[in-house]
This record gives sequence, C-alpha cells and structure tokens, in this order.
Amino acid sequence: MIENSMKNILEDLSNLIIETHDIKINKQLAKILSIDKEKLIEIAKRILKNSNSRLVHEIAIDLGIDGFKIIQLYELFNSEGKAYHIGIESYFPREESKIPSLAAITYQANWAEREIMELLGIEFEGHPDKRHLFLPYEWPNETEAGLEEAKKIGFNVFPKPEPPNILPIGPYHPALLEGVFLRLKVDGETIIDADLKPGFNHRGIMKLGEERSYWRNLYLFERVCGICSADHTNAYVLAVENLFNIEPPDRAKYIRTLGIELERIASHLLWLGVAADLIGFKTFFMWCWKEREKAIDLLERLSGNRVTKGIARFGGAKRDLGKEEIEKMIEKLKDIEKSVKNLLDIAYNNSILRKRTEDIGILDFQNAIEYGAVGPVARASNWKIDVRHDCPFDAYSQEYTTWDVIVDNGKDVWARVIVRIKEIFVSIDICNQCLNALKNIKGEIVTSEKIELRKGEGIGKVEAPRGELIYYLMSNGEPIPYAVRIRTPSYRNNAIVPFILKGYRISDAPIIYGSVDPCMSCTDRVQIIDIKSGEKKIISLNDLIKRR
Amino acid sequence: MRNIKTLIEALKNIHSKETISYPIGEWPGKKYSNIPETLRGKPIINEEKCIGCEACYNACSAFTIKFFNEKDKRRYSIDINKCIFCGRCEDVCPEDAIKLSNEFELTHFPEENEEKRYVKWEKILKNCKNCGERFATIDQINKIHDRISLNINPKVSEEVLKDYEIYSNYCPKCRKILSYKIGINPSKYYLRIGKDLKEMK
Amino acid sequence: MIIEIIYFISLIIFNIFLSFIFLFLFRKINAKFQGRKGLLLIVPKDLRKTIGSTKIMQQFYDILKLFYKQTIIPKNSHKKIFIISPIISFILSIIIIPFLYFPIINDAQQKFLFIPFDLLIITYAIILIHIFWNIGAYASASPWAYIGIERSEKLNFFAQISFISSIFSIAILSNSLSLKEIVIKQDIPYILLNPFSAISFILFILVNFNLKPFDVSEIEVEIVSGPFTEYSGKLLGLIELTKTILFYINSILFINIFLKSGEFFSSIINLFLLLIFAGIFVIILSIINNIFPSYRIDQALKIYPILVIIFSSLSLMLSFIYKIFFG
Repeated sequence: MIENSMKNILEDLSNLIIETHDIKINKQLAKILSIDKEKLIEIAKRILKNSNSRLVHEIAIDLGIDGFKIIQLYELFNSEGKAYHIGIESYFPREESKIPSLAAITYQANWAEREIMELLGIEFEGHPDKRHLFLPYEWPNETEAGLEEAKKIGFNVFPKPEPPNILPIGPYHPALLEGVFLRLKVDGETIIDADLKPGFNHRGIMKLGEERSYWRNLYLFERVCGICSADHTNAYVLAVENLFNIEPPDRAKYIRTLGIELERIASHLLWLGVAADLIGFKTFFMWCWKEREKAIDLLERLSGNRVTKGIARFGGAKRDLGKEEIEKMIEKLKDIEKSVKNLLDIAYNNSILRKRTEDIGILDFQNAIEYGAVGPVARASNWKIDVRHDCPFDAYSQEYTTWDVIVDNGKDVWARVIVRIKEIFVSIDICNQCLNALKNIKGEIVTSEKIELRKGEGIGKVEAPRGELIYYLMSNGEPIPYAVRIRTPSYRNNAIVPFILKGYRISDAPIIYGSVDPCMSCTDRVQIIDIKSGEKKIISLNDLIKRR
Repeated sequence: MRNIKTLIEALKNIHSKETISYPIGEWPGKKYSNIPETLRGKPIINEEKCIGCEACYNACSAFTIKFFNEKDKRRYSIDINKCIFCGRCEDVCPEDAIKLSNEFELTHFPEENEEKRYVKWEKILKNCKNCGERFATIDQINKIHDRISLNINPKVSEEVLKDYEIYSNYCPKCRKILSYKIGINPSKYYLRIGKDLKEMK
Repeated sequence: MIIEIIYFISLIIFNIFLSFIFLFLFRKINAKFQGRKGLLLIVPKDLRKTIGSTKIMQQFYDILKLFYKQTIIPKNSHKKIFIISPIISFILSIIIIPFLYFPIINDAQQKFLFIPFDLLIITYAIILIHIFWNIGAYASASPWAYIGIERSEKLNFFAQISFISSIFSIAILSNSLSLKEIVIKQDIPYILLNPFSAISFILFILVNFNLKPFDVSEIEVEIVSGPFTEYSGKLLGLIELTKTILFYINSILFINIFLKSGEFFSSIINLFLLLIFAGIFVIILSIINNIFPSYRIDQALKIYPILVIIFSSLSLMLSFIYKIFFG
C-alpha cells in the first residue's frame, strides 16, 4: 500500500525533518518535508538509492525580504507499481545563497539548476557545467557566462570562427522548424560530441503570469505552444482546482478528456509527417498531413477553433455537445482509423524507410532512468511511465474508461515510430468510450461551488503528446498568483539529445534529433530576474505597481 | 517486392480532391469550404438588449473594449485587430447582448478603418437633477428597477419602489449630500421600527 | 554565314523553351502523386486577373526572379574560380544542343554541320559540366560544400562508368559514333535488343540529376544544398538554368539512342512521337522519384556499385555477342 511505503520513508528521515505539510496533486496527497539546507544532498541520496525513483523538477522562488525557497519534487514507485510523491523544501536567507548542487549526483537536475543559476543568482556548488542556458553567452561578461567550465568541456562559449571540425546546425537551417543551436564535433562523417543551446524563442511567460489575475492567465498559458495548447490549459485548471479544492461534474470530465485525446491524434500525425520529411520522403509527409485535417475538423466542431482551443474552465468545461454532433463525430473517427491503418501498412513495408530508422539513436533502459527521459521516448526503451496511469485525472481512472499503456522493447528510432502509431489507436478507443458515455449521462457542465481565495500551493499534472507536463502555483491570498512555474516535457527530452547522438553519422543527426519530438516553444518560456544578489539593479516603480 | 504498396497508394492519389478552390471575391466563398456553425469569429452586438453595464470592459483579456463620453451619449467600441476571440465577453454579459458570430474574413485596407475595424454602439445617459453630471445609462436604471421588484417583501414593496424613483434622479455624490432634503435617508425606517416597538409594548 | 547564325540562335532558344515545358510536366506529376494539384494548366476564371491564365512557364519565372537578386560572394573564397565555373558549365550545356537529332529538322541541318563523332562530344560535355560545378564548390570554402563534394565524387565515379559503358555498347552495335547513323541503322529499337544498356543509362540519370533514392549529395535536410550552398543571385540563376537544360538533353538523348528518335513513319508525325516518348520517360522518372526515401551515403555505396557493375558488364557482353555472331 502507498501509505505503508510513505510511512517507512518518513520514519527513516524523522530525525532530519523540521515540519511537514500536504499539497494536492491530481487527487493524491503529497507530503512536503521542510529541512535544513545543509542536509539536502544526504536526503536526496537516500531517496534516489531506491531504483524506482525519479526527480520530477527543482523549483526556486524569490520571497523578497524573507529570502529564497527551494523545492525538490520526487516520484517513487512501490513494489506493486503504484506511484506517490514526496517533496523536500528548505528556506534560506539572501546573504547565504550558496547551496550544494544536486546535479553532481544525477544528470536529471542539470538543466533546472543552470536555469536557476543564471536567472535568480543562487549558486550551486559542485555543478559540473555552469554555462548559461537561455541567456546569450555575451551577457554580462565572460566569467559569469561560464568561460572556465566551457574550456574543460571542449566547446567554445562565444560563436567565434570555430575550428573546421565543428559543424553548426542552426540557428537557421532547413532541417529545423524552430530556432535552436546544435553544434556537432565531427571526424569525417562520424559524430564525436554534441552540444545544444536553446533560448532563441524566449518570451518571458512565467513573469507575465505573475501580473495577471487567474482568469486572464488562462488565455496566456493557452498560447505557450500551438500543438499542445489544450494540455496547457487543462494542467493550469487542474492546478487552480487543487489549490482551491473544487471538483468538476462528470459530464465536464468526459468533454475535457475528449479534447486531450483528439489533440494527441493530431500531434502524432504531425510528427509522423515531419519525421518522414527528415529522411527525404516528401510524399509520405503529404499523405500524413492529409489525414490530420480530419482530426482537426473534429476539434473545430468541439471547441470553435483549430489551434487555440479553450475547452476547460475552472470547475468544468465551456461548451456542450448535442446528440447529432456525437453521431457525426463517431462516423468520422471510423474514417481516421481506416486511413491510419493504411499508413502503418505502407511504413512497415517500405524497405528503405526501415533501413534508415533501425539501429540508430539507441537509448538503454538504465540510461533512460538516469538521464531522465519522459513520454514516448521512455516508453520505447521498455520503461512503463504514463501520467494517465500513475496519477490519474479527469476521466482516465478505472471507473470511467479502460485502456492500455503501450511499451516497446526496441530502443531505437523505429521503436519510437511504432509506439506513437499504436498510441493513435488507443486514443481513438478512448474517444469512442467518451462519446458513448456522453450519450447517457445527464447533468450540468460547470459546478456551482464558489472559489474562496486562500493561501497555499497546488500542482497540476497532465500527459501531453510529448510527455509529462507539470504546473506549480503558489498563492498569497490575493486575486493574483504569487508564483507560477511550468516544466514541459521537451525540457527533459532535449537534455538527453547529446547522449544519443554520439557515435553515429551526420546523415543520422536530423532524424535522431527529430525522434525525440522537440518543441522549442515549450522549452523557452522562462522568468525574468527580480533582483540579483550583490549587484545594484534598478527596477522602475511602475513595474512593481502595475497589476491588473 | 514489398515496396509495391507505396506504388499503389501513389497511383490512387491521382484522383484525390484535397485541394479546394477558394475564389477571390465576395463571401460566396462559403460554398466551397466547410465552416461549422460553432466557429468563434467576429463579435456582434444587439443594441436593444445591451444595458451599458460595462461587464465586458472589465472581463476582456486583451483590453480591446473601450468607451468615452460625448455630450449626452456614451460610445463603446471594440477593436477587431486586437481581439483574440476568446469569448469572455459572451460568458460574462448578463443580458446575452454580445455574441461571437461566424465571420472570419476580417482583413481590410487602411482606408476602410472606420467601417470595418471597429464595432461601435452607443447608449444614452441620464443626468443628475442637481449638478448636471451624467452618471449612468437609462437602460441600466430601468433594469435595476425590474430586478429589485422581483424579490421584495410585498408589505414594503410600494414604499421602496417609490423611494427608488426619487433615488434614481441624482448622482452618487448628490445623493449623500441631499439625502435628508429629498427624503430618502434610511433613518426614517429605524424611527418607524422604534414607533412600532413602542406601540407593541 | 548570317543565315547559319540566325538558325543556331533560334534553335537554341526554341530548345530552351521546350525544356521549361518538360520541367512543368515533371513538377505536375510529382504533385499528383502526393495528392495535391500542382501547377495549373488552365487557371479558373475567378483567378485569372490576379494570377494569369496559365502556369506552364513557371520555371522560367522562377529563374528570372533569381536574376533580380543580389549576388553575395563569400570573403574566404577564391573569387575568380568561384565566379567562372558556373559560366563555363552553362556554355558547355548550350554547345550540346545543336548536336541532338530531331527527325525533320536534321535534314536541313546536315548541309552545314556534320561531325562524324558527335556522340563523343556530347558524352564528354555532360561529364565536364559536373566537374566544373565541383571545382566551383571547392573554391567556396564552406563546410557544407566539402561534405557535399565528397559524397558527390564517390557516387559519380560509378555513375560515369555506367554511362560510358552504355554509350559504348550502343556504338559497338551500330558500328559508328555519329548520332544520325545510330538512328538510321536501327531496324529494331535498341531498347528491345539490348535492355541492359537502357538500364545502365537510367542508373546514370538517377545520380546525375539527384533523384531519389540516390539523392544523397544534395539533400536539403542535412547539408543545406550541398555543393551549391554559397551561390546566390545571378550565379544561382545560371546554375538552375543549366540544370533545366541538362534534364531536357538527357531525356531527348535517351529517345534518340534507344527508341529510334520516333522515326517509325515518314512524315511530321515523327516529331510528335519523339516528344510523346520523351514525356512518358519523364513520367517514369517521376514515379521512381516519389516512391522512395533517400539512402544514407554508406548504404548507397553498398548497393550502387553492385548494380552498376552487373548491368554495365552485361550490356557490353551482349553487344559483343551480337557483333560476333550476327556481324
């Protein structure tokens, strides 16, 4: 039982805990333990010693005069395979802002700590790679951008004319859909090393979210990413509902689930076309996007728009479905199923496509756990994690719908293709179950409870087409949130790209990079500095006052 | 030769009709494309139902609804170039006066700014008998009268509604200053309760 | 003298005009297999004011647009070689045009232009065009160009073996090196007599014109245009024009050598038969282009040499056997 495993860990660490409190994550309760900042590494080692545990995210918040607060969130699995969460937090004042780094033990915290170092000014001692992540390398000067560490790694910090064995892919390249800077160190045609720098799409969304009321933020977070926009609204709405303790009615749960699954079909078909284009198979790309139009038509009937769908509301859904529309949607889903089976046939039987995608980009089971992969990339390496199964929300638990998690043992790029195509069939099955249930259930679509503002924290977790998406909200009792933190799945998947590129040829680089499904709009959405410790930086009074 | 399946699919695609013509010209382009009725397009106003309560102005996510006073009218306008078609104004309006229609072809030349870029409507204001300031729209005052008379205790309804008629002619400042003069100060109810208690004893 | 100059100039302009129509056909069939409409032959009435009434010369307008743009020459490159190489390739491609065989026109042309070994000139001109392109790419000093040239040289080594063996096996069968005599001496078309030679020629065209599956040296996704990465503006326009003319020359040459250039009857129908056969050849190339993705360089280097060696040796052997036993 989950209660027993959690009790065991709490007894283990009882001499180090100062106090505990609870946070609601998607219907589960997670315990957050407050400890002293020197003991962080000891406790992290004890939790990660368990072979079935992973780090979800590391969050740091600036509390003004009171100092800083840092939270590390872990997910553990007990012997039956059920999941539960534990978090560790600690407070420390501004004058002593140096804490031991978690990235020295595991790679999973590497990018999170680089982001906190450059934007909030906390220093992590023992971090192996202190270069800037999102900000440009020339700001504010060479030493702060991490010049010494860069020399040890082997990649120059400034984009000066580099030696001729380093190939730049980006920021402008016909293979990439968005701007990213990927540098490959080559020897003839073999890749020796690789380095990825994001940050060209940086819009400052988390800071904008701290200036607007809860209602307006719904339309801001819808526009973080165009392909998975229903997942972002759903995760934010779940975080607010967990913070204020309200629950939507049953009919609204089915409508929200229908929106997420239809979007998964559209996103996987888009990826299939782009992956074929990266091999050079332009004909298959056109055929896949032709089928995608049918799924987007269904979304337009449901929500009114093709890209920015506003399906979720606090405590329910926005729009209802009538009986005739349900019949038309069920018929169109049968069409989609037939054409996706045809596409799978063609891809399976084309000999050159199989040769280009088999045996490259291999990621083992141990490496997937250690580097922190999420989503279909992890499931293609035989690791069974899925937010809809471990931590269910809306209509995914056993009382509402029944479905399977798809896992494959191939570990290469072809296995990721197979996992995504099979997930399309599972999504069509869930959509059929939801539509049949909507014919029979009656009721309202918005709950009639009132929102009462209170102090606290809330977390919402959702399974986007690319992996696990998590929103963290902290509130002070005002009608404006105090802190918003977002961690998207592309953040994790982009961090493992240098490891799966080593040893293969230049011709394989675009398709390996494309097989982790990078969505750079999701990765770059960072916050802006409040006040940097030790330096004089002036923020105008208008910025502090202006809140609407 | 298992590559035959790709060849057959390629030959089948010669007859596909995925690309539809979209003729340039007037809105009859509608007959070629497949537009559902639930599309979120340009907002339109029903001027008779609007009461000028400004709930849409407070709820707009992109700050596009604006208004200003001009003599005895208040003019509202929505800027279509900035609207994000989210539908919050439709959710919040108490009278169902603003709705999102089906129209999505909204580009125009700069010379046609006045007709095609703004959605405009106006409401007549009421002015205060004492100081002449214009403080609210006539429709809003009538609507409040209707709402009060729905839920009121029938014993006191006549008196309250008579007081409301006097109350609605003055602006908020003048109401406070002249409340004893015009006879709407709530102290008269407390005096009467005191009288009733004395009579009961 | 003046009449001959006017004749040659008008012949070249007419052939360039025909080459744009061939490329229109290629792009249209590409689009049909992918499920879209492609270039429109007859534009619907509502759009005629804005777009025009037909799109058949679209390739010409694409090349003309490039001549209006700014030409950028990289700082580290060897400027003279960088500029001269596309010009030499263009001149070489124009030289080939008077030597092609058209049924009715050739009788008039014989009076002032007859070279008994014009097949050799055509062969070496086609090979030299690629060599000069690669020389220009070497001078451009860009890492993408170096990778593109390396792949292109590896494949072209085998492609040229295939081309030369195909041409020579036909020359042995017909006992001469002149294109006119090859056409006249075919009682049965050579595609039925020696089909291996035709397959060798097609293998050469797949690499020469960068069609899939052997598209590796110019694939846009990995190496941004391969050898032509640093060209822009007027020089890029010249290169695109040369590629268009080369595609046309290869198709007409195939029909000239293997299908008797359409001379099955004895009137002006032969000219139309030549164009119809060339059109069918373009459609077959387009089918092969659309069914496959492209190979990686090491996979291509395992399959391509084996195919080349098998078919070129078979075609040479078949020619020798015919020669020995049937005279």
